[in-house]
Amino acid sequence: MRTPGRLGHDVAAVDREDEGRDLHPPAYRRKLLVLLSAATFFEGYDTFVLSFVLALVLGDLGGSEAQAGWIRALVGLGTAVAFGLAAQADRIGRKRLLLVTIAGYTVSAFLTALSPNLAFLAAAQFLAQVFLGAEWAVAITMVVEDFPTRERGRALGIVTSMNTLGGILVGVLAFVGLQSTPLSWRAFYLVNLIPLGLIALGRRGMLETERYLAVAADPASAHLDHSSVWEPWRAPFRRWVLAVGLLTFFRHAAVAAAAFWWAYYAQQEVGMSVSMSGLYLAASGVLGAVGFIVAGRLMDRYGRIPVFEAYMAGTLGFGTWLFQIDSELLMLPVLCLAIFFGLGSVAMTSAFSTELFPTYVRSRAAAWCRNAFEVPGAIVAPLVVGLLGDHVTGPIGSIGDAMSLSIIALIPPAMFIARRYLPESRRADLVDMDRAVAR
Amino acid sequence: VKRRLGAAALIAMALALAACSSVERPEGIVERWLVSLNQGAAGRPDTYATPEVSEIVLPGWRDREPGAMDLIRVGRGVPGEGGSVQVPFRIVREDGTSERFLASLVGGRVVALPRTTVGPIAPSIGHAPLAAWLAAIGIALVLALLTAALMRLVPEPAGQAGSSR
Repeated sequence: MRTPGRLGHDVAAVDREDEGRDLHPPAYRRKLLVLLSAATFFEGYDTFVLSFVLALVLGDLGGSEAQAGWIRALVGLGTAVAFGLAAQADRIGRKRLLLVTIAGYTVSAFLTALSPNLAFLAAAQFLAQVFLGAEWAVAITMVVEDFPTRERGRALGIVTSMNTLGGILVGVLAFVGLQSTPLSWRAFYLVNLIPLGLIALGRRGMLETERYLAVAADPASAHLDHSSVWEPWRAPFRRWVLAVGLLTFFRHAAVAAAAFWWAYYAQQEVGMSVSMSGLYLAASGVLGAVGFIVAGRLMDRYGRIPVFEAYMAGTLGFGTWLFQIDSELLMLPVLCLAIFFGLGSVAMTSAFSTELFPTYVRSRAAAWCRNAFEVPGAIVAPLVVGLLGDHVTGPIGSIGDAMSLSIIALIPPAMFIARRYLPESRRADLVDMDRAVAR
Repeated sequence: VKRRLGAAALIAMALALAACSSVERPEGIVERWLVSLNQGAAGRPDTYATPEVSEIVLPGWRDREPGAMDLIRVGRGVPGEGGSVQVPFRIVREDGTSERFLASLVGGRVVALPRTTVGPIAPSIGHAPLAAWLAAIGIALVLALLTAALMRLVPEPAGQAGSSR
């Protein structure tokens, strides 16, 4: 039985939910938001940069498309390996791990820029993904633990939206001709030195999260297992890890496949030029970022589950339609709406993977949901759509049709899980939750 | 619960196997041929068509730079005489001139371009049969059933997560 969330926004009532918490001051939270946003911004940047400069890399270092495919697979494995690093946040603390991941990522990106051959580049990018994967999980955890209940959704919306904006920066830099400088593709990786500068500026004033400190200082929590990666699979949490994991698998499988195949569909099946499809993607990416912000505000007001259901319904409708459109004119508004709903729903899945778990196990639970469920979804679904939609041998024979059918097959199960199995966590009281497990 | 889980898994496997059975689509072969032809000297259109028909669509293609065709649009094929398949297609060349053709395929290769008037080319997308749409809805149901069966194996925690539950 789920108790329906209250409509309306009673600030005083919500503030009472944070009683007993020694929250950091608002000015600090704003500064923290900037630092966390920078971390997720460069996660998005790095996700897009390799595919954008791949042709230049192959031309410079030498290599075939097949070798590029193997590099892509190896780099993807880095995100799965990131699980081990992300899980350390419950043991060594959120602040320390965030700084380690930002520094590690910056060094890896710098090494990528220095690559003398493809093998070196693959190894450096693998390392970068290990740090990026862990950085995302810890950034989301810090938002949930350091922001008051009434601001959590909004802060999650801002931090997750930076991911899309990071992707847009790659397009903007390519548009202004960064690849035409003497450094060519290497210049894109040198841009990654910016996060290191942010650490230098932000690390001194940065604090450990209020919740992590409170639990670490509580003698009643001393008996809890702060290091085993299997802790989230213990009986009290198993159900939520499985439900949130499956939900993120289905949602991300559909969204990742759509993100991977849209440009190909637009160019090969609709007949759009490469430059026009790039322009469409950049324009709709900006609106997509707004989708995160709106989702954050709505989920603070109406609750995580109703807003997730609404966003998934939008993804189902506009996503399915998007891959059936044959008109360039109609394509742009539908692409904008599909990205708004499809990517914007990350704000809710980030809340599900953190707010349902007590502090001592939160980071490990988030790592399980992302690295063990979401990442495999992003690997499997684009492959299945490619096999089904192959123009010669695919049983469907059209990427557009295969993509629309995949969205219909994957999004309803995600909606079913949210409706049937997840509790509303808008007013989840982190202090009560921590006290309950410490008893 | 385990029996239901097994049944749902069997249905999912049957659907997956059905989806894997495939034959070569003539529209795809024509598209690959034209894309290869558009690579100029770097292309290998002979894999899909006889040199004579390649020469008709893009004269002197062996000496051309890649990208001689700005647009390639392949329509849906229809059965022709003697077991052949007729696939209409349209190309737009670099200079903006547009031309429509009908490719005749035998044994998975383009062997001729019959001289005939080709009407507007309907896109080959958006024509998935109704059965495919119903199958997608069926897969969604099976995935939801599998999830429900899995969730039944995991006991509900004693109300320690989510304060409003």
